[in-house]
Amino acid sequence: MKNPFAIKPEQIADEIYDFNRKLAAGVGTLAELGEVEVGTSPREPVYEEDKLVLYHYRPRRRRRNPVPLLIVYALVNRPYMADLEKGRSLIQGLLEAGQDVYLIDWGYPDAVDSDLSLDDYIIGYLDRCVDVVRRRHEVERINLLGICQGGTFSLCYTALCQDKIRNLITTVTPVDFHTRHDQLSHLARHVDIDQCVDAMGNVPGEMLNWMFLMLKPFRLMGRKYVDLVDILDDPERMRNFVRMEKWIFDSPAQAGRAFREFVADFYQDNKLIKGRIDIGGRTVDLENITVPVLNIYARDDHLVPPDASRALAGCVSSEDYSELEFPGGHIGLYVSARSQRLLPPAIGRWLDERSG
Amino acid sequence: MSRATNPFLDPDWLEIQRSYLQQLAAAGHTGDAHSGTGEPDWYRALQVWWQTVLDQAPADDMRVLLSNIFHQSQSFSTMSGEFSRLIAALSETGDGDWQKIFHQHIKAMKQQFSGDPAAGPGEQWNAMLQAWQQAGTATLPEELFGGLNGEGLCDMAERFLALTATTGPGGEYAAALQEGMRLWQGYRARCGQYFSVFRRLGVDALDRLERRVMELAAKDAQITSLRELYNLWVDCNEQVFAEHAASEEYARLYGDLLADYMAFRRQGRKLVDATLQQLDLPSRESLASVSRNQHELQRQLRQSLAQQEKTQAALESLQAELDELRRSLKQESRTARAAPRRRSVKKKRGGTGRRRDG
Repeated sequence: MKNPFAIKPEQIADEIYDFNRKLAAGVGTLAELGEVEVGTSPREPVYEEDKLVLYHYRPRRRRRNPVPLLIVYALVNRPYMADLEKGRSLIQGLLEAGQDVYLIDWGYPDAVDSDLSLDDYIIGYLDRCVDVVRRRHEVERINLLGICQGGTFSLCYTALCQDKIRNLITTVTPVDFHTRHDQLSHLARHVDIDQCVDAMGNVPGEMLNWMFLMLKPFRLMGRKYVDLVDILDDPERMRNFVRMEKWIFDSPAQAGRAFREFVADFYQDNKLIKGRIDIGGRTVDLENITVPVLNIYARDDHLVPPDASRALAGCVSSEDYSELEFPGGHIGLYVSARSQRLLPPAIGRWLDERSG
Repeated sequence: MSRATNPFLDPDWLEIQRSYLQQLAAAGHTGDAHSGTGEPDWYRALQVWWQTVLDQAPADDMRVLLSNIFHQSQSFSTMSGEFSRLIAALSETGDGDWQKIFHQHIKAMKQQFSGDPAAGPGEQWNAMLQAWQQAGTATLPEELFGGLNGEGLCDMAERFLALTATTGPGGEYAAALQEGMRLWQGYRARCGQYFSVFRRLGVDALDRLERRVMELAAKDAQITSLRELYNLWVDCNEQVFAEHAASEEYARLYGDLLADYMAFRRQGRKLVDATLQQLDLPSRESLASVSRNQHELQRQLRQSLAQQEKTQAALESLQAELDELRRSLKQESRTARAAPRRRSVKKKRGGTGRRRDG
């Protein structure tokens, strides 16, 4: 066999020199970046309660879907996940597609929120936001779009309060938490969640980030920033990178009680798919869902594997159930250029066809 | 900051680096000049330079980003040192014995990863191991989740004992402190177990790297840069880790690591609460209890408001019904008032008739 190492010793010196030169030049680029803005689409707060704010985004089309759309994202993220920047914004895409968009900002829970339960979030905050949107538009039922854990909340809510929901869209939403390749669930099942919450009160966002990092530690802790050196001299690409970093690491703490319930009931006991989740004294039965459902999952998602999402097909009673596969990962679904081309128009069409 | 004003982009310094590295490469000892600390001199020089840059970073968030970049660059540089020794050895011996030399290098690296005493003190590998562990295990919970750690507990113990020396005996607190220290030691022992798994995986990853390089050679493919080799090594680590992370053994250890840390942390909270109570200050537990009560009251209030809204709606509906009934009644009475006249007319007529009939 021929020696595959086509590297000469003097070339190594050049390579290290070049690497350090880029690194040194990059310090200048970073210093010149200034404040990186996120979530800049025009919006107004229309309802506030505790730390929650419900926003209405300024419509972009004169002819709009008469049924408003409410977006519910995961408690671990910030709302700008759906509105990162111009050209990388699910919300902007949906506005362009003629939807009238609302979004719940859950805020940053602190010590006084540690006793907030899933009941409080799902049939409390979420239900009241739904009512606000219904009243503002004088409609009986609205469209609901859930993102990741927000999708799971949306499913629970629709199963309990279907008379207020016209169409349901779930994106990268875990339904079956015990699928074979679900690494996060595999690890979560061995965590003593009572002890965690008793020790921490609210669970800090850093802990969740650590758990996410530990799913791919070497790529993320050994290579990601080395690769970054290659684009350190490009301010625009660096600005995009910094935005993503901000999004990934801006993780609010999790209200202790809600987190305990979510990990124990959903991740550890997989009660959603077994029809044994209890919210506000009522059992969540996904079979109750008969409204049209569009279930969007990401083919290469390592946080919510496709089969964890696709399990929904066998759970709901909707005759109008469809799936959409996005060729990418969990994060790419919201921020990649491809998703901007594919998703908002597809969601817009699907909603328009069902909201007449 | 323009290139002209960027103090870190000093061509002279970079040129010195290049010249130094080239001299070492020419001597066949790339990166192998060592100081007494066991780290290559050029590596230490880079570390000093990076630290200087980091200290001058423009803003906090940028400092975090720069810190991440530098840490990973350290990992890259350290592995570059190791791989460059391999490249130098290969260039000295020619292509004939490359498999043997490559295998020897992999074997030496594996011995260091596994902590094999036969491999010698291995000081020169410390930096690499450190960098590798950093990549493999991120940081440990006590560094990440902030707040209390073992060293913090010792400080607190001293302060607490100084405080209680004047306020009375603190026997049960001292016992609680000892328990805290015991839990801390348990946690550190678990960290050791966790690291040893990663050491083992490091060895497996080097085996995988050797296999992957052989596969490339079989396909007549080439590795043309240090970065390519580094990336291949990182990929091998990730693959080996993914396979192990799917096992029950790893998940259990991961759970135990968190549980041990949380047990220690919970004990820390108890101690803090006990100290606060001693000072007649509200403890965290009492604040949590107030918070629970407040939430319960809020829930009840919202239920009452919702009930009130329903009652209000029912009342409004009843009111509307009542208004409607009143309107009907009014209409009816108006009709009724009009009716007697008609009836009297009818009566007249009828009376006439009845009388007529009668």
